[in-house]
Amino acid sequence: MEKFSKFLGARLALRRQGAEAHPDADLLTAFAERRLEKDERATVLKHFASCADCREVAALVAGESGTVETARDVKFGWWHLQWAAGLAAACVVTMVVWRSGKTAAPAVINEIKTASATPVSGVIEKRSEPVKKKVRARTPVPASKPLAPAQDEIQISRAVPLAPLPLARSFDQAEAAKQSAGLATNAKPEPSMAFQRFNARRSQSLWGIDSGSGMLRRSGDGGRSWTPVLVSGDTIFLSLAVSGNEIWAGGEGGALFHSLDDGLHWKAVPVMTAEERVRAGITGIQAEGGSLKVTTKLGVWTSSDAGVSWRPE
Amino acid sequence: MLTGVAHSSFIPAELYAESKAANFGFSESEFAALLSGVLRGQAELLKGLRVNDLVLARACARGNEAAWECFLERYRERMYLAAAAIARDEEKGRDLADSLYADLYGTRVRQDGQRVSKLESFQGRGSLEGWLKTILAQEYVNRFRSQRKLIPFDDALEAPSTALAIDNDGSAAEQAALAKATDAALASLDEEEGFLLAAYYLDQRRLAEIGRMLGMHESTVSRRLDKVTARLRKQIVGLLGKEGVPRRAAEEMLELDVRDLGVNVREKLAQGRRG
Repeated sequence: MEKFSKFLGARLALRRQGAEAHPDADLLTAFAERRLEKDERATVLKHFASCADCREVAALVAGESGTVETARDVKFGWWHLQWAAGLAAACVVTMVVWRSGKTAAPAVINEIKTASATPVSGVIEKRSEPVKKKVRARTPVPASKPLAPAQDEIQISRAVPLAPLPLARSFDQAEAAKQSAGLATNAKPEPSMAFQRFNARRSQSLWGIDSGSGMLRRSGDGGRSWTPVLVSGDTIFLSLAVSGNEIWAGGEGGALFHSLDDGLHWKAVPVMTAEERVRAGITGIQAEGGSLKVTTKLGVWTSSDAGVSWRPE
Repeated sequence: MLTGVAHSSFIPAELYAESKAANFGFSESEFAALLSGVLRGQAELLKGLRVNDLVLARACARGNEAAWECFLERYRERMYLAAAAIARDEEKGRDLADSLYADLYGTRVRQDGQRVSKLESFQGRGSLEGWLKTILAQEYVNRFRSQRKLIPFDDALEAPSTALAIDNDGSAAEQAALAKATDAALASLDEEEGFLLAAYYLDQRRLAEIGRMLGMHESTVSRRLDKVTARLRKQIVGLLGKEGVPRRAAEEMLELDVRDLGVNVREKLAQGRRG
């Protein structure tokens, strides 16, 4: 048996040699959503049989979406018919007991219950046994796997200063570079990236602005890797202020965004009075409690109610 | 209207003229019916498209601000949840989703100044939400491919010869016959059976997981696996018989019980993964 297992396992693995091009995301999605025609489904399954990567993708998608069994399996699976058969048998038994009279009832009930229960449960056990056996023997898929930073992400020295910086402040690239050079012995200022760390007690995130694309970037691993964070379509960001999980981000065109959950959700906050709306780029932000001060080329604007109302300074 | 292709008014006159269909007795309506038949498959495909999702995705790819607002409002939260579920870790999931958002938005710019957005590749065969989950899963698998413990391809290639080398009980000829018979039996599997065996024996997926992937109950998966492995065994014994291996000897080579076979395969593959 061990020999046969070796052969079967090895031969199955060898079949990976014939792997063709991977199905695209559209096809995989259609497969997961049961939208493929029979031929297409067969093609995808054939590829799956020889491609561990695509099987894993399919498993992740199915696991995430919690896809349930098809209606056909639920309604017409013969496994369920066994339950129906059992139920029918129980009804017959009940009828027999009912017809057998009161005096004989106790003995007959015991006898017939045993007789009826045995085949019904026996059938179910027999059918479900492989399931139980295999499920027990199955090793769970590893819960998590070690991660490596993506190769194309901006890499910044790990020695990002850990000393807490002022909770709310405006900064620019030169200032951030100065911080980096001054507080970290082996930290190299990233030429295209301004960054700083805020409030390590509440948030592990580092936030910065990619000076090339103007996108916000966030690091959750102490600055080793930086992931772009999409806040809003085309906004080019120029300034940031972070206090714990609260973030203010200002950009070109007077764009100002606010997040209270470490950047998971963002809300646009227009900087405007009854007369005018600020359209100049916001190059600096100072935030403290509900007090806000944003700096533009055309002047400074303040708000004492977290951006609900503004007045020029 | 998609079915409109059947109507002659939807067939350009120049197409009718170019085809010289009239020379061969096709009226315009017959020509339209002919094309309709040819296009029926595409029409069915078009009907199944998620056009709302398709338009939203393409509008985002073109940089439409309203589309982006709609997209972010609709999918931002779901994407974070999906990514956390896929990565089985909130922080890793967040990184995964954020990096995907950047790709969706397009951080690279073409020579013509257009951003390269991943959303351009969405074709609408399935839902946009499903597609986003799929590319999240693809990104996860791609990103961490090197970390995964798959059976090394070289090991797989060497496995049969190793088995030959370590075997003291049977002859090399018998082993070769077993390899040949196993290959032939595996080649007879249909697509779904091949997938079932690979998912169960190679990936060590649970029956319920496989069931979710195929849209069937785990008991159905279990029955099909039993049927396939039993049939494989029978086929292999038969093929070995044709190679001159007596049935009894062939049965001994396989050591019979299908369920034991399953357990041993798992153990073997697990050893391969750990190694």
